[in-house]
Amino acid sequence: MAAVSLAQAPLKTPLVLLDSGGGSLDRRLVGFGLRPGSRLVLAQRTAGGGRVALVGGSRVALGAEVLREVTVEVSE
Amino acid sequence: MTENPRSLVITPARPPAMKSTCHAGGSFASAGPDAPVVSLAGAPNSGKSTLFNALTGARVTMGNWPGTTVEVSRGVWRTTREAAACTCVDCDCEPSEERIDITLVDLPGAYSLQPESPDEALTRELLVEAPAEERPDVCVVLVDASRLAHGLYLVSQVRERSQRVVVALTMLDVAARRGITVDPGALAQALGCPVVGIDPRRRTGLDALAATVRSGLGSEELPARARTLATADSLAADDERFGWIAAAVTSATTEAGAARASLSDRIDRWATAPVIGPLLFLGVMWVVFQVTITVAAPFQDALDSLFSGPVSDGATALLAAVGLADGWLHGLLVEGLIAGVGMLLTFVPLMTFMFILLALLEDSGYLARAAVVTNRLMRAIGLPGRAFLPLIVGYGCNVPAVSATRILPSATQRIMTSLLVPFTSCTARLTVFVMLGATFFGSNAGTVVFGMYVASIVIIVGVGLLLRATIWRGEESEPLVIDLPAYQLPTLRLTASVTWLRLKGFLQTAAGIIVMTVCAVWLLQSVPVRGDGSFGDTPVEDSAYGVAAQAITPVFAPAGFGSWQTTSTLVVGFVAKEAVISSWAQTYAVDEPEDSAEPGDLGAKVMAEFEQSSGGHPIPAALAFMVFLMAYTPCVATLAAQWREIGGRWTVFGIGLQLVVAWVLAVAVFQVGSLFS
Repeated sequence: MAAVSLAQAPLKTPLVLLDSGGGSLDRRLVGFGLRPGSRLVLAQRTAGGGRVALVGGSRVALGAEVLREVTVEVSE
Repeated sequence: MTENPRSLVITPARPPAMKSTCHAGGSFASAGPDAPVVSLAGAPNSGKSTLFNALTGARVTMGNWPGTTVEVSRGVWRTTREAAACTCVDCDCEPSEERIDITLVDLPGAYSLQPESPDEALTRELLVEAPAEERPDVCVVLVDASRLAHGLYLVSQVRERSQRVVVALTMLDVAARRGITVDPGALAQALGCPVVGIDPRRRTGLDALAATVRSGLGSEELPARARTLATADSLAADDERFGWIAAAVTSATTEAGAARASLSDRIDRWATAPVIGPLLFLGVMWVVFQVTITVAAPFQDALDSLFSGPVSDGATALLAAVGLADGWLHGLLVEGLIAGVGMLLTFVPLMTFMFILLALLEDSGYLARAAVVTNRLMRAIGLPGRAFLPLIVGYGCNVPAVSATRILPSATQRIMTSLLVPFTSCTARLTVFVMLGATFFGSNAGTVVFGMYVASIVIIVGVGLLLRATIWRGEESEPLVIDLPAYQLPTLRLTASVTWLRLKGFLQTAAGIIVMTVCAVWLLQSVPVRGDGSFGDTPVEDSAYGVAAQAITPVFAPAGFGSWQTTSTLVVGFVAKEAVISSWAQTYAVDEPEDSAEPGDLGAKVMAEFEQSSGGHPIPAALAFMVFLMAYTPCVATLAAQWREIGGRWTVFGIGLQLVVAWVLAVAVFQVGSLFS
């Protein structure tokens, strides 16, 4: 599957993070284990257009503004 | 690792180091100048503050770190060799047990040592950038065992320097429920530092932690971990860290097959979902609002009656017995000190309920979900979702609302929200709105009062946007990236402990400010400036207070209420909005109405005054007055709460901001309104 933003990525499907936007968002996401190469699954949609991501045993809520900046692809 | 200039905006100077500040004494609690210093570090929701409270008991002070706006708690942790975690308040342990008192510092929550917020900048400064002799003797890093890889990122950075580090594993029970078993011994070997499993909520494992820390105090610093790739490139450095973390997690954990959805996961399907999530949040807010206002109200009324009745009467009788019933001493004691202390104590029930609810929401894990569902709305004015809670509470009372800003993760957000809270229209202002609505608008009073609430929301959004466009110009809204910790049943002991600490902190700060201000107003009303009155027995218009009110009266002429009788109520309203109507009644020498919806003689007097001061446009003048009343300084107790939460500088700035906004809006309302009336 081609690279898509997290906003377009399917739910409950293993994903691999390709790019996390750079800058301060990039550094912030690293603290949550979200960096290029990380595996994650989007568990559900949230109010306000965000998603809940499962990563490394954590449940991390991501706002809609984050989803647009992060690029992923479906894990093979 | 790149410095983030944004984070330095409100952390202007390098803060004093942990040990030098401790040794200098200062206002923080410490175990003494020669006591070892141990810091607690960890991500938000890792159990750090719970552990701090469990270890220090009541021996705690909370306050902003010197030179910063970041709140840091400091306390005394008493340890003994036998009962390693001696947390009794009045310790009577045997001297032979070699008690060691440790100064314990609860650092702000940090996911990493990259300074993405003032909180993380301070943590980095104290742990990494301070000279070795000024750093803590031991750094305890708390790691959530149910999300081990996540918590070890901070550990990987802390272990890149030579220092004594202990990892405290929390949430082992949550990990077990998810089928994850963590072996502390294997983890210690992988991390190269001691690892202790603890449960701060149930206070287990604390003896082992104390023993490990004491052992560490007597040992050499741990050498920095060996890095397979020493590089200045941040991406490559992170690759190396995550490789180190992955190896540690693999060696120390076992997972029992695919984990089924936990209770937290199932609750979150509803609690953060579109539509249902916001509705649930509104329900929670409704409960918070009802409990803080409705449930606390009878307690407040009882305390108010006690101080204005039996206590004041008793003091009067006592003074009469010694022949001082009519002198200035009576005024100072009854109208100054007793009124001031009474006002302070009436806030105790309100604050207690507010702090209990905050502790429950924090301890249960729900606040993180509230931040998610309100994120989009609050981001419009540059605030995180959870800022919704203090703003909602503000519509009940601004005082607990300002205290509630401490749920916000960054100092900038706390300051901005604290500056916006006074624009929420509290119930004290409602009584004045109802009285003026009934006086000037008759059957439309309800619509006008409702309009004031709408105006309050508009002002909050407007001022929020103004602050973002000026003071915090260029500062981007922080994107929402937040952990959703497992839900937990709040514990009674933790809730009581946190509530008491916060209540004590509020009383310590607010007591002086409230009592002194009430006494100062009494003094100004007692000093005759003209006329034949004497000290303590002078008509209010001849007192320093009355003359000052008359002096500022022309300022309000463009708003249509430039009469000293009206202006003086605003001066009283600065102390408490509840006093506005009684001040009018006192000025016009009429009885205060029993029901503010039926203003009677007082309404007629006020109407006549507005008619005159507005040049025949009383309706827009009354609207302008209501807008001013809503937007200017709510009361002295709110200022006291602000002083505690955001410091004196921002409190004074807030007063100026409120006065400017209130005056500009009042003038605009009157000038535009008088064109149509």
